[in-house]
Amino acid sequence: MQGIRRTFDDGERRIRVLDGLDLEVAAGERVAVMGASGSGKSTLLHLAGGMDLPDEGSVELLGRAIHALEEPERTTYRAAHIGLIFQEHNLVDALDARENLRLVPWLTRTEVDEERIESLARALGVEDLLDRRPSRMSGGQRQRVAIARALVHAPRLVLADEPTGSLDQDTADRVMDLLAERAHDAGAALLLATHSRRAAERCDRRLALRGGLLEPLD
Amino acid sequence: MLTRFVHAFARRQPAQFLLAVAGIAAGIAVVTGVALLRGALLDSLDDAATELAGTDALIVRAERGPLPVPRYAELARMPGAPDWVPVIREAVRADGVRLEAVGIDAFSAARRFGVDPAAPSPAGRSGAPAAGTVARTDRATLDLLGLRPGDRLTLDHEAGPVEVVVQPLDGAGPGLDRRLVLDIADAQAAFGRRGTVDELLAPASARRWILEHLPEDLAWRTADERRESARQLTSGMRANLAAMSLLALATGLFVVYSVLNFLAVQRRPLFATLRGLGLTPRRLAGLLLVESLVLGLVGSAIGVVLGTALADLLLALIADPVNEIYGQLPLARSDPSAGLVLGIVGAGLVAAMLVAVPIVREALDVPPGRMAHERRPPPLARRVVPAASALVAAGAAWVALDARLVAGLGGLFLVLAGLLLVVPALGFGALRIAAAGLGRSLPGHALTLLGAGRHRLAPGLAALTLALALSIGMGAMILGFRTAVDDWVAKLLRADLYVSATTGSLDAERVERLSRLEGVAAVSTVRDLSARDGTRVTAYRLPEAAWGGFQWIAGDPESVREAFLSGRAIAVSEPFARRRGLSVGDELSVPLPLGERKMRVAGVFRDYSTDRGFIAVDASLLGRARGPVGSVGLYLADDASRERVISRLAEAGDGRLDWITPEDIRSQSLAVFDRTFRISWAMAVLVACIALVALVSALLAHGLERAREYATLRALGLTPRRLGALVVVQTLGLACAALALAVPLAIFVHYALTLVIQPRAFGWSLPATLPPAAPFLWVAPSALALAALAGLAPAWRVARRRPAEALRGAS
Repeated sequence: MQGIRRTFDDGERRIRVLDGLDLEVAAGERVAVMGASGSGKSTLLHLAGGMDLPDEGSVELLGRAIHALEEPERTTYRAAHIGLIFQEHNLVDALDARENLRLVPWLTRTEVDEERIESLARALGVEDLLDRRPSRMSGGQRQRVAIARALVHAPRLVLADEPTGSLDQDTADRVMDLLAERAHDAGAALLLATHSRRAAERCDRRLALRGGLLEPLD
Repeated sequence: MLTRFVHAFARRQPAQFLLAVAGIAAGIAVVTGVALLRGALLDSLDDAATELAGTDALIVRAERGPLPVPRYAELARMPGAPDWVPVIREAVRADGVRLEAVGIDAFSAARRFGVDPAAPSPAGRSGAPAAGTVARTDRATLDLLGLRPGDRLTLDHEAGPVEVVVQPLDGAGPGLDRRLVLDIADAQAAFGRRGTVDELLAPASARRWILEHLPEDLAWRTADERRESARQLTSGMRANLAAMSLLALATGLFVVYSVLNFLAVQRRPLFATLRGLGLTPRRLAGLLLVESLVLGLVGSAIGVVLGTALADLLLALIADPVNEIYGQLPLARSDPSAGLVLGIVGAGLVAAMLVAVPIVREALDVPPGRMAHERRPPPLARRVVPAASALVAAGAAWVALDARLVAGLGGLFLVLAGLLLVVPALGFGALRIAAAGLGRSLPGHALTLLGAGRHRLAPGLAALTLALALSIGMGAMILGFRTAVDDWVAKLLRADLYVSATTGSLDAERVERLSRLEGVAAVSTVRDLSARDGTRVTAYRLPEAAWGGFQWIAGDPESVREAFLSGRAIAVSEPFARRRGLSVGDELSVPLPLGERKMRVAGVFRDYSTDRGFIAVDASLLGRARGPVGSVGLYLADDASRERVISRLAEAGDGRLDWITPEDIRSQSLAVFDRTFRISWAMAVLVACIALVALVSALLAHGLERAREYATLRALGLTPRRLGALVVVQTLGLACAALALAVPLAIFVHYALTLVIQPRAFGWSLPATLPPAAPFLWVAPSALALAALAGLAPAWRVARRRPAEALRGAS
């Protein structure tokens, strides 16, 4: 990401959230971005995933300028190469865990790898929950299923936005360990937005987002 | 504070506010339109007579057709005869506005209004004196037409355009609204009515003279009696219209419910916050009820205005058939009374409040401070089956135990309401099965996701199912009825030609001459007699061939014929038998010209010509009072040519005979039938349109509630186009479910209308045949196409947002 500027209009004034931000994440690298609420962490992740477009600057993923792609193409590219984890798990309530894991192959129109689903579920300790709907799971169980969904299609980049924000400390630690390990095992880079220093410590690099710019935390 | 919330809601959510207002306005508009139409059917029928000769004016008419002027002259010359006011009435249009031209003689007009309708007019708008036929009307009608005194106006009449100069008629009451008063001679010339008048008006003081001296082939009534007669005649039609308007209102309420629901869902986080901050349940309930009241008030006010305009459109649909069937021309009153407005607005407010109750209950369930709370209601089926069973049982019991029309309609409402309660559970069950069958395809996922919002979508699904069931069921009933009428007319008309006088009736000598025409083997005659109580007696003289035309519902055909021809018994039409509770073997006092006579009912025959019914007697019972007849059927010899007989008729008739073939009568009957039921189709379309609005608002609510899922799907890789397609598939899925459920409901509606409502409203029964397939085939593709269109708005709404924006909005 290079020279990223992003401004929002709240109806009365314009707020510049990102102001010429640069960020490079290497393959397999785990990067944590910390910052106060409203500092632009989620915006940074949205831009990195092509879910939003910068006012200025460029976003490249695997050598491709995704900010310049048309919306359908950008969506398809994101689906193929990026895994997403949200703070509120965002599983589809109408589908059981297995169907939630099958969702990304369906979106990318690729074959479902049932073996991979099973092995991921085992690795994340949710193999007994595959036929259960999200509404009948605990918060930690849901987030583990969400991690499995983010990794099921072997993405090159995982974007995790406060993945442990709604969990208690013990569960958050377990979920974060699993996320960092599985992303690493899968060879995916991880860009983590978090308030939690404990979560950030599981990453290779920690950055702080202040005044619309990133700076090293350590 | 509460009003600020309401104001903020209208400002921030203009589309939803408008949708809610549109829902109430649409329902109220239909109710208002139908209320005004019902009023117009009753009130305006004889307003002109009341206006011209007073409320107790006596109106004399010929039994059939207009009255020849010589006949009027003869009446006027009779000793002690009252001062007749001859009147002709013609339907005309001016600039698309339906009017009635009333021709009266100058002396009567001068006496009533102080002006001579034919008097030369003063200068027109151009300043030059205007010349030509003068038409006078009240100021309101002049304003309606945008005219000033002295302006020229072209009237569209079936005989051709007629140009008149308009002048005000000061002192005219509301009875002359939309009526133009012309001098009778001018009117006769302009409308090609030379030599005939429609009616003679006489003052109330002439009652005794009329009782003693009026010839038997002339009928008389007071304006009030005619109004009462019209009330009875049109009761079935008015009841059906009222039922349809209530259904439209009920469907409109589904829209209001969906929209209010949508808004409640949208503001759930706000409610949670306010509750957390200390807003009491009572004040939250107050906020929502005030909102509903504001919506109800605004929607009702707009609905009354729209309904007033709608009344004119509905009247245009119904005026011709009413005129054809009941012989009276209703004109629209475009000014609803204050009482009507207050009643309708009050009903709108009450309905809006009632609809708000479940939404208020749900809003109060939101725990203080919990933004993401989602209410999980128990399964639909478990909640509704007991209530549905109770409603169906109550409705069925009401229909079975009470034979009145109101019980039929009320029972049908209850049964439909009960069945509609289980519609969502069945519909979403079917969608779940379909989703499983479609697997991991886009439609499969679309339908699976739809199931999660079933409690939100249930009202929209029920509204659409109701509208489709009514449209299809009513269409099936109308087509089935049409087939029955066509079949009845085809069987009834056994003669080769039917002859009547161009004006008045045919006297015995002319009938005799017709029977002697070369090629004529036999004649039948029909003469209508109306008793003072409105009982219609029709005297038949029928050759053997004519008897096959009767379809006997009760009574053995041979013994009926034998008893009828011997003058010992009568036959009655089915509506008459039903209205009087008569069956074969019962005795009835028959009003005959020579006095009342008790006679036995030998048979009941099918008849769709009049819903008030009539008694059929053999012409021999009239004895010396046989008199002139209305029409004559000619039965030709086997070797006779109809064309030749027609040319002989033309020669013998000397321009005073009209004739028509059975084929033409049949096609004219069906044309009248089709015009009569135009309004039913129009009402069904209105209900269906309102239901579609309900579906759209339900889908919007669904889209909002599932915003997080849609945002997630977009973020995970669902393209805008596929997300849009997913929403449209959901709409189509709902429409398919509604259609599938509407089919059995429509069959139920068809049989309920055919077997219960028709006999109770009009007195006649219809054969219980299978419903015709055509309405199903028309409605299904239209509903699916409209549903796909309706799905575009919510599809666009969810698909147009960037994933980041959608995720932010959903969190």
